[in-house]
Amino acid sequence: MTDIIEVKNLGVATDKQQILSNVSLSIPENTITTIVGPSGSGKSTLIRTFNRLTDLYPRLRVNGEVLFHGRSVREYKVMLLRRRIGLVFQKPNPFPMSVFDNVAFGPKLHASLTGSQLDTIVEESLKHAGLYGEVKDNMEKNAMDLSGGQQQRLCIARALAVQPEVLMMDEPTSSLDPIAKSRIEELMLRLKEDYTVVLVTHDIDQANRVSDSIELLYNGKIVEYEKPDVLQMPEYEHARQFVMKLSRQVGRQSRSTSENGCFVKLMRGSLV
Amino acid sequence: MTESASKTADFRKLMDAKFERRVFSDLLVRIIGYCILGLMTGLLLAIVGYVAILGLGSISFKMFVTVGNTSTGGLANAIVGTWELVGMGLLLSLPVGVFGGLYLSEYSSRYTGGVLRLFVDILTSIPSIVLGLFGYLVLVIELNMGYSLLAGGLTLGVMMIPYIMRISEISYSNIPGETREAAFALGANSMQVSLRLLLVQARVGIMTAILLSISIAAGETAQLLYTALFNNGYTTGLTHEPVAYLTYVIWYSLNQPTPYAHALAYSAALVLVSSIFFLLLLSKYIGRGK
Ligand SMILES: Nc1ncnc2c1ncn2[C@@H]1O[C@H](COP(=O)(O)OP(=O)(O)OP(=O)(O)O)[C@@H](O)[C@H]1O
Ligand SMILES: [Mg+2]
Repeated sequence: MTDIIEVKNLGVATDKQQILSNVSLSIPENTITTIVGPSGSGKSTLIRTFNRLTDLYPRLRVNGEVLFHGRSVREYKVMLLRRRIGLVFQKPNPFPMSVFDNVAFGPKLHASLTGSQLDTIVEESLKHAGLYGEVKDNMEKNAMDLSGGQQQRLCIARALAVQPEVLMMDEPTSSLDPIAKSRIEELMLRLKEDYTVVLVTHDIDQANRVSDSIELLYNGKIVEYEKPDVLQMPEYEHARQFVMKLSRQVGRQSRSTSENGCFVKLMRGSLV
Repeated sequence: MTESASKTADFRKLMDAKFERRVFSDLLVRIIGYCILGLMTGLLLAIVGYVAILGLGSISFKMFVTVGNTSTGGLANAIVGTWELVGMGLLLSLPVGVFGGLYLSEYSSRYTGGVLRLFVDILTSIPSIVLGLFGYLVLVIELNMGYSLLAGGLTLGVMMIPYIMRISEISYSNIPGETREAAFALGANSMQVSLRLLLVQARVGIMTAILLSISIAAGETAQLLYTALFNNGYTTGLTHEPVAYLTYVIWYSLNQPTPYAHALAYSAALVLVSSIFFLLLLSKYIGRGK
């Protein structure tokens, strides 16, 4: 399996704070890689470096490498990069326009499509996200009038509509009921046939249910929680509790790479 | 009682002790509010009522369809001329204001934005007679436009720019950052974010800005005296052809000795005030959704 994204010694800092330091990890194609970690540990910042959304904040200084298909993300045209690496935000942020226009916004940026092509894309994307049934009779409804959970699924549909190769989802199920949640989890499992999924979640059970590998981020660093001694270190007091939950639930095989001594992967299912 | 419970009880008493005074001051705020509301309503009713009574007593349908020369005839040339001047002003101020606002809100640095804002604010505070003088010297004389639609309209436009720019800047800034991020994350470039998202989302604010600036421009006199002068008929050319406008009729006709000239002035005032009133109501109505 090839790695679609590789992160090498990534650091992100502001003048006042080191947000990420020395992060290295790799994300194999057609898998679900999950990033867990306490609030403020830098999960959102980490995935925002993948599509260079961090460029929007000049005060964030990024060093180290993020490779996409083996080439630094710096070398890509940023518009193309972001089409290929989609992001579903932590806070639902639909555009204040109709449901249809929300989903059609992305495709229209990149191509001039006919009305029926657009209809197809919008319908397919909404179906994927499990929202189609609820909105199909009223595609002109303002997205701001949808419920929080519907907005979240709309944002997933919007991200899918530009046909990305990687779909990053930052807590996509935080405001969903259990049924909608399990539908999104099924979606992720379905998507990994054709896409690569990067998931950020606080829901450890969810991480255990869907992930092929789980990365633990703690204070801006990747914790090699598979190594027996690491978690005994006093600075990982809080992380230990995280991992205990992780390891109790997953009957998984593990792999630890000592290249740079930097990262650890837990793989479920087939070992790479 | 435990020690902490007795502390809690003490604090409760302390916090309830002043409540009667606070009920009164609560009331006081409302009383002051109502007084100001009453004062403003009175003032407005007096002014508008005065204009309405004088105007309604003098106005006739014929004034809307005949041209006039400030002592005889009608207001048709002045009404059309006012719109022509304001339209010409918009031609300049709309693009500059809308894109200037976009620049201020989205792309300016703290320094360049600060400088531009300062210039715009200074422009707002330049007396209109001074703007008129500038328009006269530069446009009418130096650029050889003569008293004309172009000279008057552009001078008005310069005055309208700050209103459109600052109000549209605010409307762009009110669009949450997450919305922009969402568009960028889909692969939009700055141009697409500006045109397809920000401009569309700020349209209500921009519309309000346009209506406000029109209503302010339509009420200007001083700068037009030097640049548009007055015309006893309609204006059809861009340059070397003076333009009529309502404020001139008010100003000039009142100084005429005949009762009909006074009637023209009152009618012009009524037309002007009611158009501005209508524009402001329209802008409130458009902005109501937000
Ligand atoms: N643009 C920014 N400017 C300054 N500091 C930032 C910026 N973005 C993130 N940070 C800081 O980086 C740290 C990590 O934030 P981040 O949002 O990545 O955490 P997170 O792991 O996603 O947390 P949560 O689980 O609560 O979403 C925080 O301390 C935050 O204040
Ligand atoms: Mg986050």
